[in-house]
This record gives sequence, structure tokens and C-alpha cells, in this order.
Amino acid sequence: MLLLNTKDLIEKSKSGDRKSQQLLYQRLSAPMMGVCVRYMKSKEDAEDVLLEGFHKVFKNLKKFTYESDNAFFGWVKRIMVNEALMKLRKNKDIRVLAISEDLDQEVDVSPLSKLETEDLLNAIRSIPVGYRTVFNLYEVEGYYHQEISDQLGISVGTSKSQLFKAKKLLREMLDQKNENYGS
Amino acid sequence: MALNQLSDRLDQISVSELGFEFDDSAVWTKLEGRLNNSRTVVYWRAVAACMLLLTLFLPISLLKEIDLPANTLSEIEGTSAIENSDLIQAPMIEDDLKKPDKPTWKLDKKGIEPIQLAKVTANSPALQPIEFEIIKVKKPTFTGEDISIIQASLETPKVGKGRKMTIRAQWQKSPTKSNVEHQALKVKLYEKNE
Repeated sequence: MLLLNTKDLIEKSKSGDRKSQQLLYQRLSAPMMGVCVRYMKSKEDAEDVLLEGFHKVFKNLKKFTYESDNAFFGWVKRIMVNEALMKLRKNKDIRVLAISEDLDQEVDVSPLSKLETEDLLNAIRSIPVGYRTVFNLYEVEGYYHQEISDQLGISVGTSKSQLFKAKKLLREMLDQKNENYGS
Repeated sequence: MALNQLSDRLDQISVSELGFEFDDSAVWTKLEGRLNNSRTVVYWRAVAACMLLLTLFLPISLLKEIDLPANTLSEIEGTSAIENSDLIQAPMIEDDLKKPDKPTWKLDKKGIEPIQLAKVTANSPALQPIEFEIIKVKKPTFTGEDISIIQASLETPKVGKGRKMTIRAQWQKSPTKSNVEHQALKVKLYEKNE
């Protein structure tokens, strides 16, 4: 089969060509599922978000103007993140836990980057949903605390505290893992 | 910061690295169904919109068609549609105006007669404009009595023969009566300067 570039697939998908839409979906489904599982606890919820997200992508594709593959990827990813946040809000999953620790304390989580991708994903998914959501938005998606506060309906201070706690938990997990490997 | 690389690594994740079995074709099947469904929804929405427009405008056009013969009839016969409709609807209106029992009005208790309702027929011609003609009834300048007063004034010896005089008579309010109905005719004679 002739290998079409992303731009061509987008243009054909805009006109409702089902085959092009399928190819576009196949190219993006795995990384987008990766985005969804970072936010959602269960696989089923992640699949729901993926389905809703792609439905929105194809519904709104006519409004998208192609500039680059990365821009398109970023646009789709943003839709998925928004969809995941909507689902979390709808299910009232986001519970912000009160934290009374010193937020000025810096937590080094750089060892996370040394983890295998699968382990990294598992580590992120293992922390509570409130911490995880803020960690994903800040450290992975690159949102500012103000944006996170607007998206989740929490204060900037709460966003910072959730991030601090998320990093602390991840660090503890990494230390625990290292101890296990060492012993 | 080392975490900057996290996003890139997670974005490049493969199906095998997800940590569970992900059947992307099953999701696609559902997605395709939804996309087809939304296409059908768009079609049915268009149909529903057309039906709605039809149901809105059809009765109006039908009503217009019903109204048309009545107007034509009145034009041909030279009678107003209001009169015809009055004749047709008269018995029904009388029935409508009949009250089963005489109601006890609050005013009855106070010994005040209830206000009688005027019979108002359907398509009441009251809707037609009523022309008012304001007729100004001109009061005659001088009555016979007035003239006799004027004549009496002229017969006074002060007025000599061969002299041209101007008579000026005007109604004035009576100095004794405040009622405007009682007016006095004041007659003045002036010698005309030549």
C-alpha cells in the first residue's frame, strides 16, 4: 500500500475518507493510549477517553490547519488530555489531599528518566490520582501551575503542593526499588 | 531538567510498553460506528429540521387559504365580512352569553347593581375606526333683540344727521354676573374720520 504522509492523511480524513481516518488512528493510537493511561487508573477508562478523544479529533479536524507533524501530534494530545481531565472531573476522581509539609524542600526525581518507559509509566500510574494529574500536567505536558489551577479548579498553592507530594512519593518508590535491587 | 525528556519518551510509547494488552482495532470498530452514527445523526437532524419547518409553515399557509374565500365573497356581494360572520355566529354567541345561574356578585351584597355586560359580537366592528366630526355651531352674531338695542342706540339724539358713524358692537361678559352665559351686548358709536 502506498505510504501516505500525515498531511495527506489529514486532508483526506477531513473529507470523510474512512480509510485515511483509520490509518491516522493507527499511527496515533498507541502514543495516545499512553497519554490516556497516564491519567486514568483503569484500562477501560483509558479506552473510553481514547475513543471520545479520537471522535472529537475527527469531528474537529476541519478546523485544524496542518503546519507540521509535531503540531498535529500536540493538537491531538491536547484533546486527549482535556478529555481525560473531563472524565476525571465527571467521575469526581480528583481528590486533593491536604499537605502540611514544607514546600520549599526540593525533591530530586531525575532518576525517573533512567527508568524504562514501561516502568516509568507504571510508577506514574501508581501514585494517587490527585498527585498524578498535577505531576502529568506539570512535568510531562509542561503546563504552568496557573493553567493547572484553572483546569482542575484548585488554587496555585494546591497545585504546587500536589506536585511536591507526587515527586516525594515517586522518589520514595525509586529509593525502595534501588534498595530492592541492592539487596 | 532531566524530566523534560519524560514527555518525549512517553509520547513515543509503543503498544508493548503500555503494560497491558491494548486492542486498538476494537477501539477503531467502536470509533467507526460512532463516526457513521454521527453522520446518520447529521442526516436525521436535517430531516427533523425540514419537518419542523414544514409543521410550522404549513398551518399558516392553510389558514391563509381558508381566509381567502371569505374575503372574496364579501367583495363580490358588496357586504362586509363582519356582517356575514355576525349572522353566522349570532346564535352561538347568544348561547355563549347565557349564564347557567345568576352569579352572586360582591356588589350585590352591597346593594349595587352589577354592571351589565354589553353584548359583544365576534368580529366586532368596534375595530373599525370611528370618525368624529366636530361641528362648530356658530352663534349668530346678533339676535333680533340685539338689533333692537343697536337701533335704540342709533336713535339717540347725540347722533346728528349727515354724519357718518361707525357702529361697533361686541359681546362682553356681564359685569354683574360671573356666569359666562350672561353676556351683555355693548354698542359703541364712533364718528368716522374722513
